[in-house]
Amino acid sequence: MTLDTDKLSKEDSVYFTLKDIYGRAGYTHYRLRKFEEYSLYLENMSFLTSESIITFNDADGKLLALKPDVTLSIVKNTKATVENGEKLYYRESVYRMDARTREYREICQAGVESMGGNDLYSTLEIIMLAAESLKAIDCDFMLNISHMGFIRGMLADCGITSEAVSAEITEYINAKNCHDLRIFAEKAGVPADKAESLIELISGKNDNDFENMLRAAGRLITGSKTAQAVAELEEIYAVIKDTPYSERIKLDFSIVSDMNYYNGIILRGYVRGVPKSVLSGGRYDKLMKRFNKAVGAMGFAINLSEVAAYYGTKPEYDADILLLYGNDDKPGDIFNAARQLRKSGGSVLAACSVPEGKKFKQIICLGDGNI
Amino acid sequence: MLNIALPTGRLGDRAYSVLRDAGYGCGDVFGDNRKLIFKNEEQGISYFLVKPVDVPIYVEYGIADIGVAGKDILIEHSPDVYELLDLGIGRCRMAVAAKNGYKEDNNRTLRVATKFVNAAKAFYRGKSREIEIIKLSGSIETAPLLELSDVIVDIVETGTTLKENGLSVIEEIFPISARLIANKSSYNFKSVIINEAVEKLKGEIKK
Repeated sequence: MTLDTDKLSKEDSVYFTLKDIYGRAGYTHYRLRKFEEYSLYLENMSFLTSESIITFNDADGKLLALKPDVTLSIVKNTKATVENGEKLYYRESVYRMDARTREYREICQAGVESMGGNDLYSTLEIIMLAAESLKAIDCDFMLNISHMGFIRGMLADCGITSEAVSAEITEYINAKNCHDLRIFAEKAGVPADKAESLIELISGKNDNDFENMLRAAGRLITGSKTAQAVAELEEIYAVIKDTPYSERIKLDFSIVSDMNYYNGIILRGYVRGVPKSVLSGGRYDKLMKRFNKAVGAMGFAINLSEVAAYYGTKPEYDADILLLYGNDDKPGDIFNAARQLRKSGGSVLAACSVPEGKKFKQIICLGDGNI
Repeated sequence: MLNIALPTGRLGDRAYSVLRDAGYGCGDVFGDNRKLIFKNEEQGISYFLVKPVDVPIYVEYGIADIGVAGKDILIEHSPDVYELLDLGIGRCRMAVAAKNGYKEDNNRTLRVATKFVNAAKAFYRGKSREIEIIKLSGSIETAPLLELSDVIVDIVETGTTLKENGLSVIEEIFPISARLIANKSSYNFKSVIINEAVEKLKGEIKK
């Protein structure tokens, strides 16, 4: 039997394509249990997008939680070393509080984690997998890249050391809010020329074109940390520009992730028609360090629930054929007739009356055991 | 097509004037009747008018690519959107006000009446002050007069309403003006036309 992918839900069809992409890249499937010890999250609360977690006690009174995140569980359990890296993909449910409705939601996530190397190739591999994953959702996609090392360096260049100041500036950067950033930077004592350079880089003036943004970054920022990040981005761009995705991968320095966990490249992906980002991730060597794992790691997750919500695949018919049978028809005859009809490849619903509110391409009546 | 959400009322009218002068007009039908959706097919612009507090929701969910919202609403609801421009219109401030001659009693919990619960909480958290929020939907000024609350946290434009009710501002929290916001996903796919709109509006504001 072959699987008709047209009949799958968007969530399933995207996942099967992703599974194929990741499998061919040598990633193996990883399965987790639905819950974890609560302490794992308590110690890494700021890594999570929402602090509200569904908890319950096991028989011994130990506090457990329904997984709000997959990466932490994988990082905790990995035995990856530099020589013996681990490349995994998963499809799991996570349970998070929706910030607007204040209700818990089950979110289906698919993603990859590459642990072991922190070389340029492993970074590139994840970026290209992210682009291919977005393409599996919709050909009209955009993958935005930023660099946490660059952002840290940029803030250091501005003379920002206080965590509170850095947090507020980050908020403005994330919102591309240049006007409030300018006022706040002046209050915080950031030199005006440094603040203007920062503003030019986050404003999106160059439509975030990778090459133009790289040039602007190299010209405007002078510190050694940022130079290192720019050099890495240049090497990445040298490869990206010759791929079919060159127009769809942008450099957007307004993307900032938590500096306590992420260090290098970070990713955010969008598809036209879905109003929120559907893919996010990045290099999280710092998170690995927190778990005493002396290896680099990078990955991303795709919110399949968000994708499914915007690509409705409501079929026109509930089934291709309705097979109507009477009280006198023998069960064996009904069964054989249905089996006969299914041979043509369509779906067949057998019922003794027409179900209310349902639509069928064709209605076939059974009489005396014959169609 | 660029979809723009504007708030109903005076701020929406003023925001539309700025947009029209920047070259994003929609004929002279705007505001003349009770229609809530306006289209200019030629220019590829579509406007819709929604309640001011709902503008960020329409933008965050991508129904509108861009919109105009007061900073008060953005701070209160923290939508995940880009804030691209300070339009400089609808200027006012979020402030704490109380009856004329009010003196705070630091020995007890401060009762604060407001529509802006999150802004009030954040402000007093910064001061480490124990407060009790009393959420009201309108006519906030009556709360201290009827001794429902000690103070109010509300938008103050000219201060006339406060004055007429024997109240005065005791502390300013933050300045407010209308902002141009954009959906993060739309921005990626329509960056050229959105950036062009931002530049044109910037030129218009400077005039």
